[in-house]
Amino acid sequence: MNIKRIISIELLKLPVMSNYIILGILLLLDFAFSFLFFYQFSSSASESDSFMDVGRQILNTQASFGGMLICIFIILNVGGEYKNGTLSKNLIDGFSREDFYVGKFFVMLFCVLFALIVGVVSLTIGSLALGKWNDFLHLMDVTFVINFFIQLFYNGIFALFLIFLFKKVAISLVLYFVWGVFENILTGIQYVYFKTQEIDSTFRLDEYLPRSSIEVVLNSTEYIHPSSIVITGLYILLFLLIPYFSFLKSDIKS
Amino acid sequence: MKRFKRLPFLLIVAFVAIGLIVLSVSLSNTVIKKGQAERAQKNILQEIIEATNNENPAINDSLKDKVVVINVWATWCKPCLQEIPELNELVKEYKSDEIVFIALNRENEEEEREKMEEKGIEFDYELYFNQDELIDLLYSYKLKNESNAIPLNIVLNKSGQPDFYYMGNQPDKLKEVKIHLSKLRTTTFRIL
Repeated sequence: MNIKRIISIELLKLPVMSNYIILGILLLLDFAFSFLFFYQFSSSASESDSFMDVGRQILNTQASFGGMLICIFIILNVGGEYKNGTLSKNLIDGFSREDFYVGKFFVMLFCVLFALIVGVVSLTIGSLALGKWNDFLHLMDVTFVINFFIQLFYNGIFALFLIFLFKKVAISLVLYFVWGVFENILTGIQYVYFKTQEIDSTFRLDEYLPRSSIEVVLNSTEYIHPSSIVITGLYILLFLLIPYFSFLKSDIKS
Repeated sequence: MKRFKRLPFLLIVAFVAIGLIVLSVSLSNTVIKKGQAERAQKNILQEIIEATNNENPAINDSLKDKVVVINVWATWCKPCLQEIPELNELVKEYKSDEIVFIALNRENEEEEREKMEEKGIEFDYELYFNQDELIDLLYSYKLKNESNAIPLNIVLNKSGQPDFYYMGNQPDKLKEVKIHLSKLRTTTFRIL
């Protein structure tokens, strides 16, 4: 089956109430963050420097909330196919497992692009309303747009990884949230224990953790060492390929 | 049926994503390096003296030809308080006629001294309060990728240029500062 047909089939499956709700929440949150941000700066005579700082934080918040909603979207979408038995039907109707996996990858890409466009548009409207267009352009450089996209994409492939491996919506969602908390606890322990003990204080555990490594690479204000990029790159390959190979071989029943 | 026919597509996607990360990181690394290099060339001491008409009690002409170690802090800032014992050690080890330690605070002196007493804070830097203007001037040298975080630590060399300029309590950086100051001391001894 060609990719165009796979995409058109996936697009036909998208108009479902749960999808509208998630994308609606994403839209509302992005505009709410943007509105709050620009409201704060229109009501106080803040300097450009603070604008940049708060702006960056708002953009990061949009990226993390967007990533979380994309994750929920993907997990519900793929989990629904398992739960409702439509996956088996698709396979009987001539869809190959590979086509199905690639189809879901395109759904994830669609969500990522939606979140990216909504994020950028909400901030553009806000900055125009406030007359902070020049500051906004300074803030919204190529690096930022790429980082925003990659952060969302990384969350999306992580969601694909979870749902194709565990097949159950509840398990995947719980794992998604627990994993994040677990990594934060590990990083906290490393910070409190190792830093105070001064055992190689340059070592950063979060660089090696699957969900945190992307943040280290994209949000660091320091010079990034190439090894950090290699680690994140490996995780991207794993998140894309492990579920692919596992889905080709596994039982399709949830 | 041909197996793994979509694998090349997935690999291409993965490598495009990695490529975008490499592009983003190299762009920001270039900006950071360029910004740091430009800042390192600036005579911050002289620029501040000129901006304040040499009237500020903390930073003025008397600091010329000296190494100036500056810390921006506040009693409400936890990371600032956490690094104070280490900063005090710096003073103990390296304070001399050549190396001066200054701590700047935006808040009211009386209130801050009260809180220092309450919390049992002993800070051996020369303390200056109500330093809004000076602190704003120092933060104006931060790069685009750096935020307005506190504490801010700066080490200006004898030419008034920053050898160190970093925000937050960073034990690794503080170690580097120690090594830097100890090298300076060794050089001074050798000259003597």
